[in-house]
Amino acid sequence: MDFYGFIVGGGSTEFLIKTVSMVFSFLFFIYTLIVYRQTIIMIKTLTVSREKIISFISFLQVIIALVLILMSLFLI
Amino acid sequence: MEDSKQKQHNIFHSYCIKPNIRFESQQEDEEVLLVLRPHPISQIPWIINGLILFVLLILVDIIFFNSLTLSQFIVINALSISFIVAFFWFNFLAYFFNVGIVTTHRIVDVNYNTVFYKDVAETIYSKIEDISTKSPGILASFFDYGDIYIQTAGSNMNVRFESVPKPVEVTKTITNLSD
Repeated sequence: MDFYGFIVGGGSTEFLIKTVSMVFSFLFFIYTLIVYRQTIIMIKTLTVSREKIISFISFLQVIIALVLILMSLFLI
Repeated sequence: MEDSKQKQHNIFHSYCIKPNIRFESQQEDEEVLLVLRPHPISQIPWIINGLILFVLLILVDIIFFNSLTLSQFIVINALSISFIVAFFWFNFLAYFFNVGIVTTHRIVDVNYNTVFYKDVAETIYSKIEDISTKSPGILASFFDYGDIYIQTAGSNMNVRFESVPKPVEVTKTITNLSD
């Protein structure tokens, strides 16, 4: 038994990894949505010259989180 | 001369003189004189933490490389890297939007302690009773940054700028505006 098999007890590792990655990617998606919303509020509070770049990076994280959900659903 | 001095201060600096910004409750005739953020040196702990997370990820990759399939490896790494990048972004936002603003009319302190928690304190110059500065530690003394406490009269919230650069200069500016 290798190190990984020792940790998970030799069970269905594929199922475990898929479940964990799906749960974490979904939680990450919710987190990025909240951060994006909060970024918009922050930009309203303090209007700066590079506000579009800042909101774009926060939005990009939401897209990445969606891609991660898809990856954990279909790639594993 | 004045132009070249102003060009040196862009919005990403921690001590910005007359930057091109506006804030939510700014009045039409109100001009922003100073925008203060925590000194970059005070941000080193979270940068180091993020780098440690990257190193840990590499170590975990080395340990589990032979135990995972390629697709599992890709998904787990994509997730981990996204978490770490999100950690950096979260801390950057907290740094960037945690500002102290000195205007021609008042002092405003915008605080996002955890990004999700907003706290805005402001006071007009006539209500300032006492200003004190504190530069705790060797780094603060060496890089010239510290905390500024502005005590206000009555039931108004006290204003506090944390780890801002050149605290003595900021205090002088505020004192001059109060007089």
